[in-house]
Amino acid sequence: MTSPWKALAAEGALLVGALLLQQTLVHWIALGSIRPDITLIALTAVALRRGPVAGLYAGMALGLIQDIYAIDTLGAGALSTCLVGYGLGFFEDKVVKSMPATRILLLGSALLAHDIVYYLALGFRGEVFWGSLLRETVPSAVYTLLVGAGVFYFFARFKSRET
Amino acid sequence: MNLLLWLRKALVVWQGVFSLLICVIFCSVLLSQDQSGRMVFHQVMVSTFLYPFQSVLSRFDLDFRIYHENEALRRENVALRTENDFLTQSLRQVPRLQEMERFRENVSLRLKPGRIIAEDAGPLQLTWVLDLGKADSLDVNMPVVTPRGLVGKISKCFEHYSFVQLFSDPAFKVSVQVNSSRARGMLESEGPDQLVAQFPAGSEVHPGDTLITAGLGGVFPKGLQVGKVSSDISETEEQNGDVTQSFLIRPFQPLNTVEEVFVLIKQDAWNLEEAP
Repeated sequence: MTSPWKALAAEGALLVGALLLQQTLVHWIALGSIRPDITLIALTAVALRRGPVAGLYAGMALGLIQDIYAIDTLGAGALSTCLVGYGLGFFEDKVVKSMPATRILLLGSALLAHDIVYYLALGFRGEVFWGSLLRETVPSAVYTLLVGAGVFYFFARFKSRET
Repeated sequence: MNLLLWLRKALVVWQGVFSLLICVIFCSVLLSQDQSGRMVFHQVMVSTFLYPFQSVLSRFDLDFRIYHENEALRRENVALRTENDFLTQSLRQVPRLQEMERFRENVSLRLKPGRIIAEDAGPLQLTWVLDLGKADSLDVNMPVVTPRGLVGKISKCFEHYSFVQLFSDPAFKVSVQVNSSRARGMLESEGPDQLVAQFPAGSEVHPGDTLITAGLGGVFPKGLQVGKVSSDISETEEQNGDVTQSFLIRPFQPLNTVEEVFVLIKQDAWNLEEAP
């Protein structure tokens, strides 16, 4: 298998692995309704490496698969995740030299953008919108950022050792 | 032709925008569906796209569960087998203990029941270790018996355990007599499973005769069952000027099947000591 295909397979495995983790193990480390979004961390990593189109399709696939079991919010997750993936792709490594700290910043922005789009797509307005954003999004974003920071720093160190 | 080229170029340049538009339209269509439409989409996706993955994952999950269940069952099986072995041993012990209890009730002697806790590992069974000692009123030279008959005597006695010298020990000697003819002789061991009794030549001893202790040595009381004269009779020989007959003896109590014994609590009937 050539190197690009290997990389593609590795990124696919990363997305699938993140999805499986999100569906199976995350509830073990959840603090009530506050839980880290592992899929968004994986999507950030893939989009920053592959660009907007790959980020768009990866986000679409992840969001759609998660939406299949959420019949009431069908489409909202897919829409928000694909938009976030597309947006993150513009900061891909070829364009912007992203350090781990930059990636964390982008991840935080992506989390906020994702939930804003998600709530708007579901028709949340006014108090409900802001309430959900403050009660759910911000704590979950902080939790996800902590996990994401660990992951990004780990991979950055791993990569620097390899080079 | 030019139009096609233009379209291809536009697709390459604007593929991101086109893709985004397609995705947004698709998601908007999903969002605009009513409950029944969403259900249809859900069922189609689950039964076609997700089914193979779910099937594989379920299979793994099932295998994992079966593996763990199998492990737990195996552990439980070992525990139950061990418990069953203990119970079986306890059940097998019951008739033996009942037989010993009956024997103790029928015999007017003072008997102390004991358990064999060790034996020498050599090919000859010469010594046992009993879980009784001086604290249980045991002393050296006390006879050790089972309901079937004599097995030996206490050779060393400590506070809480003691050694038994068995009749298979070549150094063990006991005076015996034939129960029917009352002919007296000496019993000793000449190797593994080879008890030999020597009688004066011409004594009335026949194969099948029962041997009992003669009670002449002061250690064993008279009348303890010892064994039967085997049909295998050795040739007449001369020893120290005396003409004797040797007989192979089959003991009533095979030593390798004994687990519990009785110690006959008694003082020596007499001691051979020089007069002051």
